[in-house]
Amino acid sequence: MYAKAGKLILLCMLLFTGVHSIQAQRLRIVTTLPSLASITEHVGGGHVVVNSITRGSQDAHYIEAKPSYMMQLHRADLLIYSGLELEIGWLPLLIQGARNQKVAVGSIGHLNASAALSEENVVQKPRGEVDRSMGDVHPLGNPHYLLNPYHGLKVADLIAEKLIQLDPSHEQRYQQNLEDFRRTLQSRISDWERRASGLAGLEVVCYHPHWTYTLDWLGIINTGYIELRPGIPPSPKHKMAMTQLMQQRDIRIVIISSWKEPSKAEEVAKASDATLVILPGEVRALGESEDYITWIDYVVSELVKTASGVVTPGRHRHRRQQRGTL
Amino acid sequence: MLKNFTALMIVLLVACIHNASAQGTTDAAATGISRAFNPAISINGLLSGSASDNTDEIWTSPDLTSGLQLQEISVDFSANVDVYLSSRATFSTEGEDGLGLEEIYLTTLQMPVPVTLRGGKMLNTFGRHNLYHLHHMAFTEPPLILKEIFGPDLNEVSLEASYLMPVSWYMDVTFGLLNGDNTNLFQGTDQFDFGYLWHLDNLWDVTDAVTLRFGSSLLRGGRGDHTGENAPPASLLPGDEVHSSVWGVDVQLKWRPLRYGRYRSCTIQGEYINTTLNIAGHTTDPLHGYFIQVLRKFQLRWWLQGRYGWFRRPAELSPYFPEPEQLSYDVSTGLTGYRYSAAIAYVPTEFSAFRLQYNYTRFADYSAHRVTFQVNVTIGSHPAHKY
Repeated sequence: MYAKAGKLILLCMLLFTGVHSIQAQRLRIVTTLPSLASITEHVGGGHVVVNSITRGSQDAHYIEAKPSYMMQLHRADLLIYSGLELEIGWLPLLIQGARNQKVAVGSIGHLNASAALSEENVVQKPRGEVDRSMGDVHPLGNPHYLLNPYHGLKVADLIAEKLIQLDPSHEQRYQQNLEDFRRTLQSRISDWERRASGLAGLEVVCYHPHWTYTLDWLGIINTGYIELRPGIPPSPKHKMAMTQLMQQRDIRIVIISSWKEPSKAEEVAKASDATLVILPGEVRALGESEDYITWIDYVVSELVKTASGVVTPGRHRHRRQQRGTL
Repeated sequence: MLKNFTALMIVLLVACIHNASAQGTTDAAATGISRAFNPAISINGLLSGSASDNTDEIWTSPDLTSGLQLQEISVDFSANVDVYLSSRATFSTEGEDGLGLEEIYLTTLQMPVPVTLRGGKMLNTFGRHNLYHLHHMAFTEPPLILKEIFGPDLNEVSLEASYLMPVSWYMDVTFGLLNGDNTNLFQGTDQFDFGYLWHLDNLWDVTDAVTLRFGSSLLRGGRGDHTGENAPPASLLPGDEVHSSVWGVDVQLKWRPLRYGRYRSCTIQGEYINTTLNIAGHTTDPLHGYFIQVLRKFQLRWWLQGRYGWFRRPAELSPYFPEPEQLSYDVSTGLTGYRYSAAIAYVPTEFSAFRLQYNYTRFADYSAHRVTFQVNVTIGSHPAHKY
């Protein structure tokens, strides 16, 4: 009886030690965004454990520096963040509170994903002086660059490079994972571009400058914003002006991110006889956007579906011809 | 002597590091005069207009006055010193008086162990509310109990070490060595009259949207045989010593939904603080009290807030704790006071806020109503506030 119990305990201890040892060998990675977590999971495969600080349903501009996030960073080998000051309001507090040299600024485990982009890749970088009367402007440019899947490819390259630097023993595996991810994503990009080819020249209105990278990629024209300034809700006068603009230009689509309260965008859409499209602002923000690839797929599918329902075929092609961009 | 020397060394250390680039070493040329390395600078202004029905000449508290007030102007500088240290300095006016030093301290950025050291003159880690600057407070004034005991905050030349405990939830333990300058609690003259601080902070994620925070604090320090401004009772004999002991608990329950967290949230926060003096072996009755406040954000820019605060001061502690509400009363009877506050706040952005607040205050047999409108603005780069 006692011998059996002893063997069982020994077996449990061995199992526990084994599991613990396997976990200890895997790189513990914390990202600020679910999209970064998803790309890292694709590249890292089974050799990494990835956690995202924010959830897809949260607006990463306005996160509170919860001490429990510090605990995640405290145990991490690598921090990957979006950069371009998206996380400026909370990440410095978390890094300081985490008391983990591995992820401190300047350490090997501190990765700014926007370093994968060139200057030309970053859009809406203000020229000249900026001040707060311009709203919540990002002085370094629009930080939502992962909404262009070509940037996802670049960020995947950078992450693979970092994983190999931190864990060279699995270099081959990371390279293989990266190749697989690139192949899959590139194939999907071709598919998305084919499906969305009819959207080029289409005019839309966005609530906030969140979708600029997607719209630029697909050739969709953003005619205006419902927000008065970035982060500042519209005044009644501005809503009326946007309604008039949409009616004049026959704009039939309004886009808003899932974490924005939609009532003001709904008012403008209703007054302009347009359709409001709520798009997932991040991976896992809405429905079937479980990873980076399905997220972009969801966004493209929603845009194609909405446009096919509300826009007369050929009309925006004519508009684009008028603008001389076709 | 030792205490004064320690305080001097801490302040000199902070001041020297702030002026490191002025030391004339050739190393300074590595960064030259690039503006990129200038500290983040911000200025905060608190202006208010109040109307109160208090006309008692024996009760002249600033919290009961009527008229327009420049409550505070504060200037804040913050920057990383180098790879190892960050620094922060805050200067503020008290009303319209000249700018004075409020805080100047260094914080370690990298240590070989999960410890953060903070040293300088700073708001000390006793409870949660004591760490807030005036512009960060949800109401126009600090809770009564903090004013009664710390008068109104614990802000000492000190050194604190905080350690992140290796447990599954957030548990941070802080030890502090305080110079013992607080007028109410210390002002000791003995060379070993330091204050010793302990704070334990816990936070649990109850759900993704709800956090529960619970902390406890303990502070003990000697007042020596002081015969300062607030003279001890005549019964104190030469050589008898007085020690201050303060303990407190703080609780915070916070709800902020994931999806629309920018639009609605609710925070319930409270603290209880208890202080006693040990006078030549005799422990006094406690000066104690609490506050509880509820902050409800119900729209993108709108908050509804309420607070209740209460305290009780025994007669024997009256000589040691100057009356912050400036009420002349019969000190032989002790004093009980409380305040109800209700406010509505309009916060267009994180850099400006407008608050309309009503207070009902009662001390012993005296009571007063007061309505205040406060404008709170910040310009420049201000460091993010802690959770």
